[in-house]
Amino acid sequence: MIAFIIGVVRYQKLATPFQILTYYLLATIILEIFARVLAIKFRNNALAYHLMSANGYVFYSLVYYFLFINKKIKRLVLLSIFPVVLFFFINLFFLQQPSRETFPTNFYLLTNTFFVILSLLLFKQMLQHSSQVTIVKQSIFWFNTAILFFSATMFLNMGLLNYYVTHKWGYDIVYYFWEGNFCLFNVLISISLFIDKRDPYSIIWVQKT
Amino acid sequence: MGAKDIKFVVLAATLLFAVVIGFIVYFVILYRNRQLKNKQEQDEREAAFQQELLKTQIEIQEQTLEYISKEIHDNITQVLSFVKLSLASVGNTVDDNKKAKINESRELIAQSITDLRDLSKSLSFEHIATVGLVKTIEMEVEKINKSGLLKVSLLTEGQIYSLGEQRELVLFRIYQEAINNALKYANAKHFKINLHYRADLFNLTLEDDGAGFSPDLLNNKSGSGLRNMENRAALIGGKAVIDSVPGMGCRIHVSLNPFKQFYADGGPHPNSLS
Repeated sequence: MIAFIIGVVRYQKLATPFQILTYYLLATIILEIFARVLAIKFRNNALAYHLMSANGYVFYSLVYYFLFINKKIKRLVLLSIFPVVLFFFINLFFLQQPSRETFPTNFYLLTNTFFVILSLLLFKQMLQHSSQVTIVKQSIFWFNTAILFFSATMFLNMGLLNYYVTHKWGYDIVYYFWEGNFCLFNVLISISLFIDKRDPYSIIWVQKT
Repeated sequence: MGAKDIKFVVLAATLLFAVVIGFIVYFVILYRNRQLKNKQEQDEREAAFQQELLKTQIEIQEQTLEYISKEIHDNITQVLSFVKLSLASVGNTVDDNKKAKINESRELIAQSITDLRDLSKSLSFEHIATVGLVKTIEMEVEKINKSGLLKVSLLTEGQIYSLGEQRELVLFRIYQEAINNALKYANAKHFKINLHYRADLFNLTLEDDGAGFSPDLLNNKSGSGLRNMENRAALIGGKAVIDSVPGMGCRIHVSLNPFKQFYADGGPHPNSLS
């Protein structure tokens, strides 16, 4: 919510990828409200989390599309949306139906793998086209750190959660760990939205010589 | 959930955290190093560009001076010589009163021809290449002393050796700039030139007793001639130090290692564009 407010307040000053990020945050808030409504009315909000997973991939892919310079990678990122969304529907209707109160772990595992790859590629791009701007003042760094951090820890979160659920153990500690990661992710995203500037964005990459 | 399981969760989580944070820290260090490397490369490129620019400026300047020198020598002095000869032939056909005036004019023309030839020599690169730095400065000193505008003294120390045509030309241009400043701006009465030849070091010191200037002038637009001296010295691998205090004259000291490669890229003489 705080990240979204920062995004809205600074919207005019943000570069295109971070404007898209603000829309993503808005969509997430709406889906969170939808999840609450489903939980109250039907005691099953799995559908909202399924939608949230697809929403995340589509928006983050668009953000990465604008952050990458390499045209081939840009095209791949954009094209990946279609098969991933197709897999989302397959998972939704045949593998982890919301009616069975299942969380879309299949989809998260796939998309988080993509996110880890994308974030590493973006870090590589940052090294190849380093700017003279201090790294902590680069919104792209904070955004990419957030994605890498959250996606990498997501595997552990889900693995542990499944392990504890299968063994019918209390999983409070995993839950708190997950929430902690999520908070940290939001803090990093908020920083990126807070420091992003539209004007210098166009010159942030110094062409490799 | 037992204590063992909690331990496992904490351990796994910590390990993953450490890996991700370790990666981020490593990336930040790597990025910083890349930035420093890029900055260094950029500085080097800028320095090379500045030197190239200066070389080009000097090339153009030398070409222009050479052109003017040739024009004076081949054209103006030839015309004046022809005028002088014509006056001589006219002088034989007129009365004594007019003849005296014609002879006076002929002498003035002869003086102008001599002055123009001297000027042509001081502008031309070929002259300094032929007779060398010391001889060229000696001739310049003689000429200025003869004019009475300034009292110039020249002191040469050590065994004279050739510094190379390019270096000698650049040093001569520095000398010309200094003497021009002393005459034009400083209103100096005395000018000292010291050429000190040592086996491993050459020093050129130029001193005047003129009005001097504030060191701030070096950073002003009006101090471009002074900065030019520094740049020229740097171009031949030397260092120019300019000291001045208002009312206390000016001292320009150029030192260079005669064995050091001049023109960082070992390029041709500024006078030759081909």
